[in-house]
Amino acid sequence: MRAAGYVPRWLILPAALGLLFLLVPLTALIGRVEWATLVSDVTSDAALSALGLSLATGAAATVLCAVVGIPLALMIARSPARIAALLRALVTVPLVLPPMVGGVALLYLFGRTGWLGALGLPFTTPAVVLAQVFVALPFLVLAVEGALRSTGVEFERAAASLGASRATILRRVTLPLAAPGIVAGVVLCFARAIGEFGATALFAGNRPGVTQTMPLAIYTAFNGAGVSQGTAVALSLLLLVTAVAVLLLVRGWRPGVGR
Amino acid sequence: MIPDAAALHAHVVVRRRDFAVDLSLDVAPGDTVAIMGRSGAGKSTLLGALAGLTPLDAGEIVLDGRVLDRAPRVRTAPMRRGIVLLGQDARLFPHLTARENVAFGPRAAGVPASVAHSSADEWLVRVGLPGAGGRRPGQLSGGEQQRVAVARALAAAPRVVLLDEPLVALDAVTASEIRAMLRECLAGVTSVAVTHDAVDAAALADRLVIVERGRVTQEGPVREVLSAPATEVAAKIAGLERLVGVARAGGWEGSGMRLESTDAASRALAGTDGVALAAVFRASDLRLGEGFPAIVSHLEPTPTGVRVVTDRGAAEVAPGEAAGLGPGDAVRVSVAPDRVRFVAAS
Repeated sequence: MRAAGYVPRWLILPAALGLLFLLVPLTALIGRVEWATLVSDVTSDAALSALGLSLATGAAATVLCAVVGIPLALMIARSPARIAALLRALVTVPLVLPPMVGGVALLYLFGRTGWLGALGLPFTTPAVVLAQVFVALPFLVLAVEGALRSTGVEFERAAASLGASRATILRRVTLPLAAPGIVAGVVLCFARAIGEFGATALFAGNRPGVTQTMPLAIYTAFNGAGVSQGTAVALSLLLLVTAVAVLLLVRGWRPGVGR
Repeated sequence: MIPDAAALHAHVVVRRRDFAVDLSLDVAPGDTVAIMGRSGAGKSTLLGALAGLTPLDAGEIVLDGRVLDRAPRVRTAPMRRGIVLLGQDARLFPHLTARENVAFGPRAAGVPASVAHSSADEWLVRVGLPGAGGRRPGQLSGGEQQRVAVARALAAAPRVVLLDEPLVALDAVTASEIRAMLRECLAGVTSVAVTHDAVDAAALADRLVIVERGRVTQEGPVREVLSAPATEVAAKIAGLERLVGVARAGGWEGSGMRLESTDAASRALAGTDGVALAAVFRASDLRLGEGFPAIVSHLEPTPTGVRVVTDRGAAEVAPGEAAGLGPGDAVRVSVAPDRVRFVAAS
């Protein structure tokens, strides 16, 4: 059997172009790194505090996304087709919305005159997490929902007929079978969260140590506010390495699903 | 390991777009009832209702005196019925080993893992898979998966086992082995088996119910139904030719053809002139050559010869006998009286 199928051969040209377009800019970035000052750039207090804040808020946002996103994905996957399509469209809105708009929307909700203004959230670390949840949640929900839907309910029916309660079915059948989708969703969600810029900038601001995450630190560095462009490049490299490390970490973890 | 067998009484009414399924079914404790009929006759609807997946529009399902469902209010969730469904697809949990699959029911019922696992290993031995406990479904063949599915179903100590053509996806040799294993394992377990194959019904079931367009058209002990099919569908299932006519002078007559029978019950049925009567016989007993004129409609090669389908039933003959025959040809057909039975026709 031909695993390759029968794709026209000339399609390799646009495909290669696409791949190059993704990789060459990153190579250019690495080419600009000033290796002599790299260590001091990435271990500077500003860089380390931005990295720490990014990882902490990204992790918190990912946990929040999983806690509400997996149940939401379950509801969508088990809804009748038309309701599922509607819910899916609603979940997709933040995905196609410019993050800036998300930041403005969050400000109007949580701002001093907003409906939830009393909470005093804007320009605090929790605001960073909220902005990240807003932009990253759709990635998790859509990935998990796709996995749940493609598995279907037949295994759940089999489990029910064997006498398993709803909670047992969720724990021993539904979630394990959706594990690859959940892992993919969590990784996408985390990657999107630590890369978040627009909504954070508007809703949480750019306070070093409080709301200045890596992307904001890079932006600040590029604008020449106190640090050199070399620092910005070094911080970008750090973010790139972090992202690749997360991906590799996940690929090393393989669910034991034998199909 | 099998609990005391349960008696199942069901009157299932489910309205569907094309017709209403309205079936009554009684299964004595420990018995197996086979349900046969054409596709779309309502067999799967019946199983769905018994399993608790399809709500009843009317009727009730009673297991050992306990009302599981009674339309329109009483419904029991699938997990609380003690009824387990074995389908064409084994539906083993792909992320669990064979042992964990079999132990799933007992674990869900609160049995400690070590106890459930050792009892699962015993079940795997009973279904013919000793030592396979550590393998995952993806490493098992279709037949082995179906064996694990049987073990998993029975390990849950069900009150009733439903079988929905569990052998249909298997090759003939594997199906035959699993049929024998099922026969052994289901002995004493109340079960309902939907099948298209009279061989399954004869091997597994005590009683046979024929379902047509949502109604029971015939039921009784398997061999009785298969040897005296009351309807065209039942005759097809039994692999018999069935010609409808009337009783005349102690024999059967229909469109110019006359058949006699040596069977005492058949002769008694044919005693009253004018009674609607069907003559049934095996296609291999219809002789070509002499007798009544018939027209060939088409020919079908079979593994052992040729099936010559005429307007007076089909004849299964050796390849040589059909040489030169074609659609539209005139032939003569007859059936020896000791090969014919008469059954009442409606």
